[in-house]
Amino acid sequence: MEKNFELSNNKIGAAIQYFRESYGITQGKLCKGLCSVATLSRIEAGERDADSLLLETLLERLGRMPNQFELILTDFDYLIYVNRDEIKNQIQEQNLEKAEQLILEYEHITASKGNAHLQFIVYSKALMNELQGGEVKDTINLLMEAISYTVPDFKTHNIKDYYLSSGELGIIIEIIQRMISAGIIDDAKVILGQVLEYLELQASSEEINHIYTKVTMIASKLYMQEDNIEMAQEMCNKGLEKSTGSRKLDYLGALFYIKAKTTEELLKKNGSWDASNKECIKNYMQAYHIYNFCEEQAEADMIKKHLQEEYQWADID
Amino acid sequence: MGRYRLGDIVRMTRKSLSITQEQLSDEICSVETLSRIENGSQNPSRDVYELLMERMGRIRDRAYSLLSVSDLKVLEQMKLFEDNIRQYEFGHAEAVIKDIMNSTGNSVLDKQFIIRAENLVNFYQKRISADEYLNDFEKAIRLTIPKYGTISLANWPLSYNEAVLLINISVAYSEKKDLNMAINIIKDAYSAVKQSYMEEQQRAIMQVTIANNLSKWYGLIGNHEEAIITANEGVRICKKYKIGNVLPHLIYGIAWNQEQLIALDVPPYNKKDCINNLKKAYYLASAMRLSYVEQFIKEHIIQNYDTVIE
Repeated sequence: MEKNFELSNNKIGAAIQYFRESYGITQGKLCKGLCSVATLSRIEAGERDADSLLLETLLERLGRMPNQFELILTDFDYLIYVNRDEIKNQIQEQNLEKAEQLILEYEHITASKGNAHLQFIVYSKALMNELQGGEVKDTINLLMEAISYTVPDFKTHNIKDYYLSSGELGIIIEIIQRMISAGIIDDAKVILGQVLEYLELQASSEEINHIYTKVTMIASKLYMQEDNIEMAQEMCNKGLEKSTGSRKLDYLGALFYIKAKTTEELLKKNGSWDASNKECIKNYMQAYHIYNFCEEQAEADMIKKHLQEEYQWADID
Repeated sequence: MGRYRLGDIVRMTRKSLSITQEQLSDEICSVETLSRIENGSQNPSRDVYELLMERMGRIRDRAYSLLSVSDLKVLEQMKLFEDNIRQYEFGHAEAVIKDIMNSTGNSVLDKQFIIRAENLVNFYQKRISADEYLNDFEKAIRLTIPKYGTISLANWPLSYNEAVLLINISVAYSEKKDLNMAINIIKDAYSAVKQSYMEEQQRAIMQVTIANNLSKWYGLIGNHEEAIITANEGVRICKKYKIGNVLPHLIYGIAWNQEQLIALDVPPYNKKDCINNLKKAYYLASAMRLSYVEQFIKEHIIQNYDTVIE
């Protein structure tokens, strides 16, 4: 390792190549929808400066999170980085006018800068549409447009031919959730199936497992709505299995609740349920305590009531 | 050509955290040097650059634009080492250290890592005494904080690695049964971590870990009130960041300290408070699938309350 390395060659290309090759991913598959293979080759060889958003997405597709600022090479890149941050903040703070104006400016200065920027712009517009009380269908269309910039055949092809960044996966999950709330169930199921299949193929990591837990929770809730108890339970079991060993509590309340509810329903169906079923009570209590801790009071109260009425279980707190 | 100006990265990161050059450079390099590094008129050495970035909470193995392939391999092995230690695979962990020593450079952070790693393995394999264990951790932390032991670190801009080392040091004191020293050190670390520039999630996990240790030791020296206050602080952070794995320990700790106060006739708790907390801890432990903790609490309830929990 060299002592002085100011102004040393940008090593990001070597890092991308190293991770890509150690996972056995072809260049074509890694950069699909993002940039040309020729561009990726030049980036890997350190022969060209690349836009930081492009580098970030490539690294994320390899399951890596870069440090903030580290990929920024030029003043222009820094400027648009700051702009993106500001747009996200304004949307979060619901300063819609300000956000709209910033998005317009961003669109102007990043024209012809590549698909990752277009995705960011249209994704922001989708969030804006929702905050302005626009139609769910329009939000879905905008989200579809956003994902199609970097996953061009999203509408016609299975996503398993891609390596997706957590940002890209996030957009796809938002599409599923909007479709479910708009009642577009069949399409939502197709995408859900693809996302689950995709995630199951990935190497297990904290981040992938966390996303998987979320997706199985969405799926099992959907199956519950449809009274498909067997499928709801299957999804729920998958989610609970992948979340084992995780540090996080997210989604576990819903998963344990569905686990309890589906076990109860299945037992009732074949006539072997009774009010002293320990497994159901335990799962309800697990769900209850997580909901209670996370201050999701409505859910906690519902479980409490159910335990009192169906199980004469008064020993809650 | 893709070339990076390290000075730019340092400057942008420092500004985003709103810290001054004085605060950042303290004990790493002079303010003048930092100023020259930031404006591009001087090259930082690898050590200075890494220490500056560590202090600003940048995660070393995410510095992809600066790491060569051999650095990446070493950092992957360091991760593997931590995984092995967590799973009590000390033989594997030791083999990983050997590999790292064969391929690593000689940066301060690498040296610090190796001293700490060897020390952990030696102690867990019962090859060294608690005194030696403590000494080597202190040697490691002096590599980046030469004044360790002579000043309070309560306001020190601790990096993640330094905070890990301070926890190791406090645990070493507790192994020596010197709980007061253990508490003093981890209290400083607690206060320093709160004001550090660590990445938010990392800091939350660190705070919760520290609160759990500190609360446990307060309980053991009989300061049950402090133990409960500290554990409750940990619980609050768990709630904010939805951290579940330390939560059952913290809540169990609250119940245990409440039991001690009841036995001493100190108000305001009663048995109902304890049993409620114990049940909460039990169900959360089982939801987090911490079966050892689940079992432990279950037995505690049977023995002390004459009730069976489902």
